Amino acid sequence: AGPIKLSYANFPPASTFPCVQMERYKQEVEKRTKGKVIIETYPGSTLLGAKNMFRGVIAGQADIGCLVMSYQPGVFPLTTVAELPVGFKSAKVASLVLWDIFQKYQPQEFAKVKVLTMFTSAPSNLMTKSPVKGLSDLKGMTVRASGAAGKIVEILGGSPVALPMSETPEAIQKGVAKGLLTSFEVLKDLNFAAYLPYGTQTDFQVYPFAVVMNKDKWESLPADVKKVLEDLGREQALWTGKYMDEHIKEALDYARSKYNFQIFTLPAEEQKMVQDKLQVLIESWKQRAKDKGLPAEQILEDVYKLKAKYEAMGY
Amino acid sequence: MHRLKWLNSLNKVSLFLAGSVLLFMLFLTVFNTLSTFLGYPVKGAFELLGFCGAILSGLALGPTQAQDGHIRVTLLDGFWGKGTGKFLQALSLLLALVFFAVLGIKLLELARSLYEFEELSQTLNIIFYPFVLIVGVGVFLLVLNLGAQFLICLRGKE
Amino acid sequence: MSLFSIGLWGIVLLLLVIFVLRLPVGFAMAIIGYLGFGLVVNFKAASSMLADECWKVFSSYGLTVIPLFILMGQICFYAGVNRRLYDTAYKWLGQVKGGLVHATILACAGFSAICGSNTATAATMSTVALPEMKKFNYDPLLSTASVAVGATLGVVIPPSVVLIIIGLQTGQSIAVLFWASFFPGILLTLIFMLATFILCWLKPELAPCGSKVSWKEKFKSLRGSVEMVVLFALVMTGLLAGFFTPSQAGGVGAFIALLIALLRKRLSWEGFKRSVEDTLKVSSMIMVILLGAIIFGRFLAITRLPYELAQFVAGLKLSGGMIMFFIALIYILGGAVMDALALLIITIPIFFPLATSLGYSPVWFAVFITVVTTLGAVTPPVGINTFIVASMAKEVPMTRIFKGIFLFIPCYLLLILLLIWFPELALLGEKLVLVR
Ligand code: NA
Ligand code: NA
Repeated sequence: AGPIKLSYANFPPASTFPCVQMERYKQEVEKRTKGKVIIETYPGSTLLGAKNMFRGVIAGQADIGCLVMSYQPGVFPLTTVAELPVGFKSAKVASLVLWDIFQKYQPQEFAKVKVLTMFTSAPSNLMTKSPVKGLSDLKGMTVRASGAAGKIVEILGGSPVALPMSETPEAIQKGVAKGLLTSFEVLKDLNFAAYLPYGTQTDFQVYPFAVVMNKDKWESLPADVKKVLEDLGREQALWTGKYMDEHIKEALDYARSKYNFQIFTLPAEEQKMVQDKLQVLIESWKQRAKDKGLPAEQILEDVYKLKAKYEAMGY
Repeated sequence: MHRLKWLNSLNKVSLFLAGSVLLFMLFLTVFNTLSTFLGYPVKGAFELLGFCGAILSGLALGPTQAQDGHIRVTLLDGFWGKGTGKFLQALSLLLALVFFAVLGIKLLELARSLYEFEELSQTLNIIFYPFVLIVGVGVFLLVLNLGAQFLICLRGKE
Repeated sequence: MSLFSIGLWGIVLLLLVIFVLRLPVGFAMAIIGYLGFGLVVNFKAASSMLADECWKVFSSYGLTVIPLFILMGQICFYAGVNRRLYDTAYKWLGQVKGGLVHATILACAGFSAICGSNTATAATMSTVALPEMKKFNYDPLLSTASVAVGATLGVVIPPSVVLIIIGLQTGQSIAVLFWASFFPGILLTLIFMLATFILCWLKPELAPCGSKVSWKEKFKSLRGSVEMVVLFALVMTGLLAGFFTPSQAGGVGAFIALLIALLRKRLSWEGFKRSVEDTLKVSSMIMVILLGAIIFGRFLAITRLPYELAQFVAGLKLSGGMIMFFIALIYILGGAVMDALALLIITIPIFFPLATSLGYSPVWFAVFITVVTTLGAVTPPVGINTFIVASMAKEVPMTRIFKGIFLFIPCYLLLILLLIWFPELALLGEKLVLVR
């Protein structure tokens, strides 16, 4: 028989980091199974989009799919713990914490699929037209932010607009939105550095991703292939985190050298204030998690513990 | 138009609901534009408008088909004899009927899976499977209209 | 069978279903796309893709722009804006040679500035302009053709459903596209008038003079066009200044149109109901076509046909101009035999990447195919605008209407050539938006 063909669907355009990690995954799997498995990749929502990724993989529309838990509020009560503003400073730490939490709790929310790996985006930070050196500068400012990031902007006194990403560059150019809350790589990837010369290092939250496989397909794989994929899970999480962090560094260097991009940090007392204000998000996650019968306190405690552990390791 | 009275009434009700949704969208858009201008955008207005648009499109499907409003290419209409023409028309209606029945069932299944996953909407964080359900109902109204046209087409052949 | 040939067969089958079975175009694309996707992937996947795409397309905020803009045009129609526009143009130009034709074209251009579709413009303008030209013994050859071609300005002069759809399908800013087509739209209007002038000069018997109008009456008639100017200025500057998104522009435009109509007591309850009903039907038709195009596009994407076709053409090493010429030819020939909007939606996923890979500006290409597409709305044998005008002028044989239209086809060709020679024509508006 010929090699096993697996289709791998992804939603963002091919140049973005979720697709870069997908190509790396494909290469590694094909190499390590010595050509026994071939992965065909479908970036840019050609096979499945962001919101139907999970359903699509369960239905067998694609064998493998890469999804963001935040795009389907309510569906992933446990792993969305990673999108809380707990102060992740790097994608590497956040990705490993997410993977470990998943391994420890084996949440029911992923029962219908086989999870191959998990990782996160880099922490979200403010990029603005005028400098934001303190919370007063953010007051009333229209900031493009969606989902959890939108809530953060709202809590901190800004006014979030959830514009589609395709309408964002124009909105920024015309001043309909005065800033963005997302991770820094867009400075280079979408050239926002040209319009938004100021940054504020807020490290609010990250977006958790999961790479999942159709369960029947997983069961049908031979044991040695399963072993390769199992072993790759944690390694891929680490690789993606590392890649993401380096990519952010590159984007910042680009923005600094080409557009003289400046980064501010909030004063220490305001950072504390922000943490206190954002506590509501953590509380509401806890409530939702408890409603679904999850040990919320313990999960959060583990998140902080793991985060401290990996940060101590210099990640 | 059909000779079936009850189907005509259903189409009318559907069109009335869709029209109401359209007017609601109009006022919500204006209100949101104004309040955005004053610095207080309506939270989740874009999302709500999207849902309204879905209901509108779904509910207008059937009534539009009833009046042959979905554009067709009628270039070769006079090319076939009456019998062949009728046969082709029946075939095309049947094909459309089966297809939209599949779509309708799949939409109901989608609504069910959103319900089971307890999925919430992105911005407003509300349950939204009922909107999907309404679109599904609109598709079934289209199927009914196609069915009626199919039957009329068959009967006309006798 | 290779994926590529499955893709090709899909297209052949699609054309068969559209022409032979006469399935509505949107249905046909959806059905063939679904079957093709099922064949290449599997039917379980295809079925769940159907529902997902349907929900995604229908609930997209970006697409709410369509019903809102259509509503604006419909309210204006039922409030008689087109009649008053014609009255103004008529009073000012009626007494010159061929004046009623000039008036028709100008009134069409004016109505196009508030109405996004050329079929709506054709339907509404023929009810006003045709009886008037008949009264003054204008040759039907000229009167019917002038309404049919004048109404094609509906999609060239913003707002425009065609530009909205191109913008949505290719991820471009609708505001930029609207402004980009503004100058070409004005230019096309002037070219039509120039052609009318030449025609009437060559054949004076085609168009006798109308009656004399006093200056007082002329100025008085201007009031009837105020609504159109207000609405157009509001929508276009609002978009230019970034006050609102395209959907908001449509919504605010429709609302102001409604307000004006009600304040001036020009819209009856019956007219209001019909404007809503028409809006629902037209937008439902467009949404189904879009859904069909997206499902068919999913099938094509998975066969990689557009990509390989673009590769193939790029490999031919033809000059960009040659390729543009062939694309224009395909649209003109295709637009002759099928509905132009449907053709556009089917072909965008194939031609758009090709044009941009050849280095053409996406904005320029959008304007270019809009002009070519709108030409398809009048050419025989399938010209939707021509059909609409013919249904309003039952006593004029179809062949005679088409004959008149042929006199105007060089106008479009001239604009297409001008667009190729001076791409700035379409890029001017873009700069205007981006400068801000
Ligand atoms: Na227009
Ligand atoms: Na044509």
